[in-house]
Amino acid sequence: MLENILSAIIAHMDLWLIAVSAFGVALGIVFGAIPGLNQGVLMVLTLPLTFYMDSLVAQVLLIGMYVGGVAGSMVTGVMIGIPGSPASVMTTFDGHAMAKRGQGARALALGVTASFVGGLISWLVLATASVPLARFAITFSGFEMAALVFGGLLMIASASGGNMTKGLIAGALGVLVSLVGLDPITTDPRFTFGFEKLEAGLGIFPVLLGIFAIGGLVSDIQQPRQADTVAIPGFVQIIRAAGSTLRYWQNLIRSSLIGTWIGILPGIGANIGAVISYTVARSLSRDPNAFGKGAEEGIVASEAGNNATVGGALVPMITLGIPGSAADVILMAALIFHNIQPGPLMMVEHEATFFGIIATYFVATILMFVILVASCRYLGRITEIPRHILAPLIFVVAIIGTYSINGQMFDIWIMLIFGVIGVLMKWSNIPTAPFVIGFILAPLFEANMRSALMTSDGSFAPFFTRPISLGILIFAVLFVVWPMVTGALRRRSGQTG
Amino acid sequence: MTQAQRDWITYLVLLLSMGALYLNAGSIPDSMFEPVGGRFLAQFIPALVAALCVFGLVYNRISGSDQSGAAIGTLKLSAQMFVLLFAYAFGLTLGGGLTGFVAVSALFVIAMSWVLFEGDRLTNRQIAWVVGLAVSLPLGIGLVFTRLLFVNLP
Repeated sequence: MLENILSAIIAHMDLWLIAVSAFGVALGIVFGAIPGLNQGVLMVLTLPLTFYMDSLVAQVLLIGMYVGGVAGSMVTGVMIGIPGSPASVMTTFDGHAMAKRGQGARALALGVTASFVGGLISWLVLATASVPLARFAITFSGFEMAALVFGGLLMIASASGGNMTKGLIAGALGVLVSLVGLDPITTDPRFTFGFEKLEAGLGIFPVLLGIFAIGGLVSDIQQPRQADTVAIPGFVQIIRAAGSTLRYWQNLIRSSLIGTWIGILPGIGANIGAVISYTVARSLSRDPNAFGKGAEEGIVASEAGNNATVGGALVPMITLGIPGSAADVILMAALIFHNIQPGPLMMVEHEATFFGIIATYFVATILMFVILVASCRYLGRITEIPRHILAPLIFVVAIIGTYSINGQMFDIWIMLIFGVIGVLMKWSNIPTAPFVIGFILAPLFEANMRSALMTSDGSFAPFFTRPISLGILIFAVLFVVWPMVTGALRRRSGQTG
Repeated sequence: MTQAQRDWITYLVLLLSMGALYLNAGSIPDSMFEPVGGRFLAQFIPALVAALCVFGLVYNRISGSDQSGAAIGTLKLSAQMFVLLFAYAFGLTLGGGLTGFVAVSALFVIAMSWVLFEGDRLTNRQIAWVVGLAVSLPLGIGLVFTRLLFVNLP
């Protein structure tokens, strides 16, 4: 198998294919970085064009976009505090805190390198253990999936730092907001208060942009800007910063493996990969209180975790024909159009494409690293733009980004309302991270929980009798309780010492 | 106002809101085909938030943190209010169809730059930058969205 992968990689060392991949990665980075747009939008727009391309060129272009999009979403998150997509929400907390201190370029370099390592490790898994892992992943039932998402929610509430009660309140409020709209199973309206437009529910981007772009910016008006006077590091310093990511090698490997596994599970994307990697890193960190305030470990965990989901999500797609994410659905559509059916027989019937996808992902990951490291220095200059120029720019992009998703003014109003909610949350010192993550993960949790309970006639017992589900719940509770226990032990040893 | 006072107001407002939402969720009908219907989470979450708020209030009281705490620095409320007002005016003007995206965005950029400028007065160079941005940003966004992404802007 490794021989096949190596020969596929060598076959991809064609200048034309590298140029196509680099183009895809660069476009993906741009789309990933613009709030409201993402790699999914770009891939959908490109899909009709791929019908006129050779299947190899099409897959090289689309996988490049996919890899670039996931990595690119951190750029705006770090530099201006607005995540390009929900996957980079966790990176935003520490990355933007570093950017505010004038370390934006370093934060980007750390994130890019972590993305690269995350991508490489998930590629290794994809290349060596894809078939058995995919078979194991499909044994996960609704109980395991619901337990996993619940664990993620619990962990992020505890990872909010400071006041855990407020973290839990924020997470629960996020879940509550996600319930607005028609019940996905019975179609009964919930919390719509007679407004027809609310029946479709609240979109991720109006809420996300409202909290981060509008709420964050308005709250930041009272903060003095420090970055204007800080020099942007040179290329050598960027390379050194990128190299220093390897100091966190344990965090890198752990987060990459978590991200890869999350990616393999169908329907759970980069968001939860980043959340779980981040919260695990925080729980195991010697300085958990630094998380959210510019901790390098936080950026490394989040970026390694979310980028590793890309390789992970490719595992069930090429081995079982089950898309691991929305982007994989588009990739599958392109392959099917070229008469290539992803699934168990793909390795036999379309061997070249099977190994070609693995090789393409490897090449795209390297190109993503090269392009982003080369542009870190220039992207870092974003923090030098005066606030009276940057803020209106962000506002206009956020408003139009929100409008562009559904073409509705209603979404702009939702965004502005959540902007005010974001300001009020800052005022009350309620963390925004658990709120946003609760909002993103709740539909997944509810759907899995309700479908699982249908199979058990409403009994919650299988959550605790099924070993994997129980294991996940114990793991989540341990990671919530662990920092409290270690903190108490440290305080006690401090008192006695 | 101290953080403890803010916490007290926050918990109280949340308690009242959660009570109202809990009652509202009571109108969601029972599901006929599944053991746990759509009402379960819709009532459980407000109850959970309310319980957490009560815990927060009691904990603050017991730990004495509601008695202590220094006043939090005064906010630049006027700038914040102006920015939010401009954002809502932007939305209203776009939604009302009074004028197109390009014109209203240009005005918005100029108004916000003026409010957020942190110096004594804008120099000619800075004014040129603001005006340049006010013209190029809406035109650029308009071109990208309408010509490349085929999204009709208001």
